Amino acid sequence: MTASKLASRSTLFTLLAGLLLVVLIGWRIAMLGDYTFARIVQDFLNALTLGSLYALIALGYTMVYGIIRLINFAHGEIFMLGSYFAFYAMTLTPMHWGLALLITVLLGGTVLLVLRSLFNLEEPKRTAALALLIFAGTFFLLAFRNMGWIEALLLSMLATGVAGVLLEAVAYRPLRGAPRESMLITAIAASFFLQNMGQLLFGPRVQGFNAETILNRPLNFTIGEETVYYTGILIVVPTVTAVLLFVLNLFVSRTKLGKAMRATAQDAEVAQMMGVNVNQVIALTFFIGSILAAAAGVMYAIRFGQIHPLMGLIPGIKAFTAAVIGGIGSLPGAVLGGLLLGFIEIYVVSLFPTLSAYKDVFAFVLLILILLFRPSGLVGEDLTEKV
Amino acid sequence: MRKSLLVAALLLIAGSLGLAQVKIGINLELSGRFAAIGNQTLNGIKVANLQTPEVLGQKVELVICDNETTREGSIACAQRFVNEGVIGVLGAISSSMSIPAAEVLQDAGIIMISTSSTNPQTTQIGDFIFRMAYTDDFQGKLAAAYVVGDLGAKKVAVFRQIDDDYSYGLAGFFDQTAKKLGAKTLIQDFVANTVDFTAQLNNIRSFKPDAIYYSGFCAEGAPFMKQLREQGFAQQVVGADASDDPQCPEGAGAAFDGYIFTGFATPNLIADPAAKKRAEAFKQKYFEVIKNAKPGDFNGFVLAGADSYNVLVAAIKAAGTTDVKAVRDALGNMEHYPGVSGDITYKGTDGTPKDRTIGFYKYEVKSASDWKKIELFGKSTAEVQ
Amino acid sequence: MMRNTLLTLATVGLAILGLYLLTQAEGSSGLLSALTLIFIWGIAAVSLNLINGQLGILSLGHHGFMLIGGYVTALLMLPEKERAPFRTRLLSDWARNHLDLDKWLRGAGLDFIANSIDLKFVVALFLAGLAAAVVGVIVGAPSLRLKGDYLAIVTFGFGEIIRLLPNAPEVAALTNGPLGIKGIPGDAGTVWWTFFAFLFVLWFLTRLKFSSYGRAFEGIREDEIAAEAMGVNLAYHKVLAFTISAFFAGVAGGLYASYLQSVDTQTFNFFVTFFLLVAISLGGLGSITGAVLGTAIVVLVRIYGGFLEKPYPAYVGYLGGAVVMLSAFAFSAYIRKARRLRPVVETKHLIFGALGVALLLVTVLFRNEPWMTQTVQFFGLRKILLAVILILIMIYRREGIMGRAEFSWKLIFGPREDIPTEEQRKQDAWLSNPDLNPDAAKKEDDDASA
Repeated sequence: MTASKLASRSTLFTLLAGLLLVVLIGWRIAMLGDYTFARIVQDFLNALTLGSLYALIALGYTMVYGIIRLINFAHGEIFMLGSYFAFYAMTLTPMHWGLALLITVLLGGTVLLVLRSLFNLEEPKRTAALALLIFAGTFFLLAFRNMGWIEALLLSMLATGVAGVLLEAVAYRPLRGAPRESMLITAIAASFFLQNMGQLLFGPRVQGFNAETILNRPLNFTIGEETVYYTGILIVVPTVTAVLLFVLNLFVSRTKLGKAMRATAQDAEVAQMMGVNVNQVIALTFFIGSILAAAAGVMYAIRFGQIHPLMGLIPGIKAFTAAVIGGIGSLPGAVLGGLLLGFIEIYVVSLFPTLSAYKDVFAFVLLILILLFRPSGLVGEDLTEKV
Repeated sequence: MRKSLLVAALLLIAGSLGLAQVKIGINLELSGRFAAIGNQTLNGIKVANLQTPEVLGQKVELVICDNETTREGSIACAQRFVNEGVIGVLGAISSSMSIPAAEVLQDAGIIMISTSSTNPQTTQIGDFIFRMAYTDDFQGKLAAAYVVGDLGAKKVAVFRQIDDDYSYGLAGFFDQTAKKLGAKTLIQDFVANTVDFTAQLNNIRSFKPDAIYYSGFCAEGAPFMKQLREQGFAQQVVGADASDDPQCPEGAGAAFDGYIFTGFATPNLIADPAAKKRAEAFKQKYFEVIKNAKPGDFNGFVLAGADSYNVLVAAIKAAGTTDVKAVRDALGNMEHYPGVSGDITYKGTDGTPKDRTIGFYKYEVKSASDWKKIELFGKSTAEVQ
Repeated sequence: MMRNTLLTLATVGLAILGLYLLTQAEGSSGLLSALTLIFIWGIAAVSLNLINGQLGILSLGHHGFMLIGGYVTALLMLPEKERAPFRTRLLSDWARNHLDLDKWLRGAGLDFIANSIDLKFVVALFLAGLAAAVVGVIVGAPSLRLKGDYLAIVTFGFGEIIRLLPNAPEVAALTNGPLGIKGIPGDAGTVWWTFFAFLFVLWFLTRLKFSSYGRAFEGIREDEIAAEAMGVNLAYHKVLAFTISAFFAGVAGGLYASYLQSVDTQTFNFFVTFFLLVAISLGGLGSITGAVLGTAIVVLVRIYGGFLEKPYPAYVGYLGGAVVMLSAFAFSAYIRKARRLRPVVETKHLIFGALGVALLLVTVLFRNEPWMTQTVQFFGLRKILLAVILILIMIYRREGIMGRAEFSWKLIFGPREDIPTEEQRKQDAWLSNPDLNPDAAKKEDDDASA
């Protein structure tokens, strides 16, 4: 940070606000009386989990916005699809070999085509190897295994990634040159389409997601006189998120395709002139974003125990808020925003229980304030074009 | 010539008889949050329709409308029925959907029999509105008497869904009675589709309740019970008739083990032996007719649906005409109708039958796919003051 | 001009007559309900069109304005018996006793208004619109700093905040919380009331569109900087547009509350804005006629599309799916052929065709299997249809049905503009030159010999 930025008024303002916040929290904790250290730890675990889930979804929003400047309203529905694919993977397997064969051919074929185009796998040997892996693996999993949560997670991530690519190809690519408002409207329409398609295909009821796994066994440990209650999922979610983020970071910074993505995000035209296949990059962005959202969906389903076709609405909005808070277009910003929003949500409700009714309003108020007064978010560049 | 005229006349009469139909509208939550209960009720009505397909020599036509578990949908269904000129409307399930429909139907002078709305407001809207269930003041009082009296709880945490008339009202009645019986209560609110109850659970932690009363539905109940048990709360939880839904044990699995709730009476719990026999007979017929019915699909809601149909048809028969006012009067004066959910008397009430039986049940859950609903005992609303 | 006015008046007169006959007809209440809804949503749609279409700013918070209008109307018009604590549980005593239009009017000595429920409704709707307009100023303010999709998100955020607020416990003292307000008198929700309200709004907004304000709005839409250079005060006009739009949205919300006779936060959710968005996009963003047309189509789909969601045996679903897929494939091929795009059949469209054929095969082969004959119901098909319509419009015909054009009597009764008149012929060098146009040579001969 340069000296001039330190001295700038906005930073001073932020520091003052931070100080005020600390004082407020300290006073509030004193007022509450029974706010023990154990509670803080409990809330921390909850916040970390919630924040990680928001971060995963927010990454999808921010990546897509960074590349094609589109707010993908339908991302929440991708999140929902992820949990439903995992649900069906876990409950319908092992399935009849004929059905398994059918799904393997259809799904495997689509996955193969999509992966080939995304990752430039033109070599016949590589393609054949990949095809064998996908087809054999899928068929085996579907027909012979009663899938556990990890296998379901992986399969669901793959399937949802493909779904995201299909969404882009069908709904967004035809509008590539159109004004941004039209793309936004299409995104809204796609969101409603997926929600109601979900209600049609999966049933409008709330569906219990019972991963009777070790993740759901109640665990606890004691701190002083108080107990901290948690379950395995509160450890798994941040871990899985961290792993995925690490892999994503590796991909974006070290591989050629990752470089192509960064180039396209900077300036799509020039990237194209430099030989980057922009269509491929965009499809890849949707693929990765959807994979992350699917992971979030599965873990959300395990954590809260139920899924329904409209489950993507509120988390989607909150994740989008998180992405904006962190700075839309910036990957670390999305993670930061997600964690921040998770922490704010859990701790504010914990410290001020009477405000729990306003939980969702927070997210929207924050969104408007950030867009009005600091549209670049916390980490992003100062965007003068928007103001 | 004369023969053909006669044939034509006969055909016309036969045709008009065939055309002449008594229309009964059905306004139920067949999709959305309460879809499970809605479909159970619909099955009950269908079986009852199979048993009594005609009245006054005319065929009974059921016009089914799905209100999608929204107030708007319920109003739309009610208005549609006003336009189609039905004699009566059966439904809705929940009070939130029944009350707006009742306003519309009362204005239009069409009979409405809500199969399971328990909020007292519903029948207070007017004299064309009836119900088949008990009211929440009884349910709340009975539950409070059980929790404070039988379970001996001195501190009760009450969880209510603030945007649903049924849940909100019921929690209020429970709270009133529990306080009158000397217990301390702490009320916690949540809205529809809440999955995260950490805030509410944090709030009751220092309150250290002896028991917990849950007046909401299974969509929120499942995550609630799961998180309750995960967070180390081992208290007895008592629920209400909205928990009489497979979504509860299937949604949260073992967390629902030992969960006690009040609900519509099943045949075994009906005190009156004659009514019990009728209910058993109906249960047999139900499983004959409805293919792929699981044992968990038959409950008090099915009986309530069937009886709503039965009393309306009986009222039409008693009135001897399809004139709505006359049928309403016949229904309003009905005494001791032998229903499958018990004896039904509307005379002298505001539309709520006298002496309904409320059943107490317990869930025994080993896992989400292996659970049982145990019948504990039944209490009549006549016993409650 | 005289002719146009006379024609318009005549049409309105005919419409009134038609409406009257309809109300007297038997079994027409379904159609009357549909018309009432078309009028109510029509008012909301043309008010949204003012911002989205004419001003060119995408606003996604319209359901918030309607909600405000609905709640204000409800509170003001709630009759005495509904104000009992039992019916309005969370409403504070202050709100119960003081937010009563009847009391205000009688207190002010305006008994003649208080005694007529129609006049009371006029006052209530006006106040409702006013309340919504005040909020409209607040929501419109960010439009001065933001553009494009960021602004859209901000309006969306405002809309959702407005939707969530009435549920909050502190505000519940004014709004009866999540339980909503029931028992609102339905007199303003009848077809006549909504019809005249609709006519008024149409007249007002049409006058606005063809006034200097309307031209300013469209100038801002086309090129803000140029408009500003021409002396259009951006801030004033943008906020004005939001205010007027919010006012009429509030009126529409109040009418809807009267139609439903109850109001709660679920009634005015984001789907309402989406619904209106489909309506005006279908009709043509920027055209009032288009908005009305689009609303009519969308409302009719919503009301009469119910047959799509009835129980059918499962094979109907598969067959329907096959038909949809194959027609989508045929449609896209046709469009590409018509627009002379190559290749005519794109790979991704081939997927639709393949899926369609597959579904058809499945239907034919497994027609009598039990899983084909069981009854299913396709809930939500109408909403899916609306979403698909919007996506198709955005992809294939962004300007909708009318584009930005308005209906005018000139289209029907004016002179044909595609065929040259005599004057134009004479002036046209090519047409009148005998060397180039043999007909002209003949004509000259005729003229000469005549």
